Amino acid sequence: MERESKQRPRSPVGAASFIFDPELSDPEPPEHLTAIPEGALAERLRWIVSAEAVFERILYVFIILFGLCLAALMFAQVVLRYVFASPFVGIEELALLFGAWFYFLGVAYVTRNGEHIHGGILTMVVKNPNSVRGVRLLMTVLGIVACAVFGYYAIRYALFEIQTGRLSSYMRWPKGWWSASLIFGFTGTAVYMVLQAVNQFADLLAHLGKERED
Amino acid sequence: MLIFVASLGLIVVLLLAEMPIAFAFGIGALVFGAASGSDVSFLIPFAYQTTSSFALLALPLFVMAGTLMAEGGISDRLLAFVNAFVGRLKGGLGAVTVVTCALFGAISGSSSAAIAAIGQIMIPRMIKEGYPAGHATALVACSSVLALMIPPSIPMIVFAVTGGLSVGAAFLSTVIPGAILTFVYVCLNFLFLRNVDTIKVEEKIPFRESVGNIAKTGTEAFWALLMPIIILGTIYSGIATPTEAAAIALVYAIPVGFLFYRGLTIRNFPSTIARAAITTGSIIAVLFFLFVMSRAMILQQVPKEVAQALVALTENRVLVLLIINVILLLIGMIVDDVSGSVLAAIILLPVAKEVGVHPIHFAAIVGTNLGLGNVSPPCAPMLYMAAGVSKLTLDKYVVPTMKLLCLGHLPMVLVVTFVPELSLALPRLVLGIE
Repeated sequence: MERESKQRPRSPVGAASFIFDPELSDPEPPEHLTAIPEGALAERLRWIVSAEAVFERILYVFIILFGLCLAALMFAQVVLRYVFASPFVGIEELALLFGAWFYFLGVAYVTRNGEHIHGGILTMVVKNPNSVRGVRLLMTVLGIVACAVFGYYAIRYALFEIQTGRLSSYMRWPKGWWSASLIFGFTGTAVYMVLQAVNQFADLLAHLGKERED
Repeated sequence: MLIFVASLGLIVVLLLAEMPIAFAFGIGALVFGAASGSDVSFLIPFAYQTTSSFALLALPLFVMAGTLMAEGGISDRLLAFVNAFVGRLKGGLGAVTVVTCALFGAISGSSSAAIAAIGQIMIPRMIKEGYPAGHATALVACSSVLALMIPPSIPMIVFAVTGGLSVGAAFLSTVIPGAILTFVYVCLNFLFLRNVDTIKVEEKIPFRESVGNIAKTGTEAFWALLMPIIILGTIYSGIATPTEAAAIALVYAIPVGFLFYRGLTIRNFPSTIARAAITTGSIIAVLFFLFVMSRAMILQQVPKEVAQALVALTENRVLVLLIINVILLLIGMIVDDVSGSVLAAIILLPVAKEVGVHPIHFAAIVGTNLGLGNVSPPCAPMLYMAAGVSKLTLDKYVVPTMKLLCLGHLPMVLVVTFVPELSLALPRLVLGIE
């Protein structure tokens, strides 16, 4: 890593006194990587990147659609009650349908963009950028484990509701339409987390290689 | 209990290692479930049904409404309006920041949105006007948590849904503490800046001109200021449930953003909704895994055991409340406000009930205390977010932050804890709760 030294002797002091430069002492912590490969990796995984771009557009459109439908339905409920004095109880069921899809597709979309809420003191404690990369990769792998286990049970639950053909109370629609959001949400999340792990692994390998060369 | 403590320890380690909060609780639930013999397949339906509850639909709708209003351009209008009142006093910009954060909270309900919208404008502006950069950063961070106390507050929705309480009553419980804390921060801001000579103060203008300025900026901010009135008015007049009020706010935000403030366009409207979906999705992910964990804990009677352990430790109500506050502070330092609300509702609400604390009073304690945790180093997400705007290192803003917290927020937490009337007065007056 070549960087120009910013350390300068303090002017009135003749002895070897230097201004502390955190840039040289502590390397910048690496940026968080998302599920979307960049640079050389994106070139290598071109077909995945293209397929993901199509999937992202579908997610994007449906998320917006479900969000707006949810808002419109809830507003319609107020209008029906106060303007037409006839509330329609099925609206609440429908709102929950759009809500569930908005939520769980939203979770997949959040994973894609790497915007899950997180805190931590990793970069304060670990100063070596490659160690930080390694820990982050480990965290993603553990996240995949959690997502896979709970996703498996969530999908099993959703399939159970679909297979038993349960109907909703007012609309008499199959309950599976609601719980199918779990299948899409967890599958999307798991796929994006695997992509993120691949991205982080490639980045770690590249930096380890660079470190060895230096 | 031992398994619970071990799982909690694992969760804390994972959180400190920057694992997303949702998955850290997922792993914790997995370990806890496996070790305690809970069947994971029983946990999922509960988590799904609680996440898909009707009351929780208020969350995505408020998030969408707040995001649309922010994109619509309310920040500048609100800032100009508050600036017309106190902007020409020494330290006035600091007061403008605090009050605008509180007002912004009444629209968006999110502290991170307040930092993004207000901090981005005010931190550079305060620094340019000669305010110490550390003070500017600390002030924005500390004021941002006012958004959690002024309704509609996302953590309060989650707390009420999880604890089986009235969302409307939970909203009202933090209004008076939030208003007092706003006032305290304004006063502390003036106090800390009284001897700072670098601050540039705008020239005084004649009274008539000042009134004209207030009227002009007030007219421009009118549509933004009307939004909290619509939200709270429809909820407390009984016209709408909080979920419906959120939908009304969202439908209101669209023409305001497109036609009046013109910040919304056909081009940025879809991406604004997508951004709201990202905020909602990140919260829902956390909630889903937290509900899984909470179900596992309830099945193993962990909340009951925690309550018994705390009461066995001491039967003194004051001491128990102090211990609860310390635990809440630690929770607030480690996890975000939404996760903190769920954990508080599951683990600590039974303890509070055991020592005779009114659940709505406890909602106020949680709302006030979690905000404190969010800006208390070393794990202070809101503080670091504000520092991300000012690009300062921790040593530059830690002292002003601690001064604001120790003289402002911490005493407020104690007042809220030991003066229940402060949080119960409004719910009793408006909703007639006992």
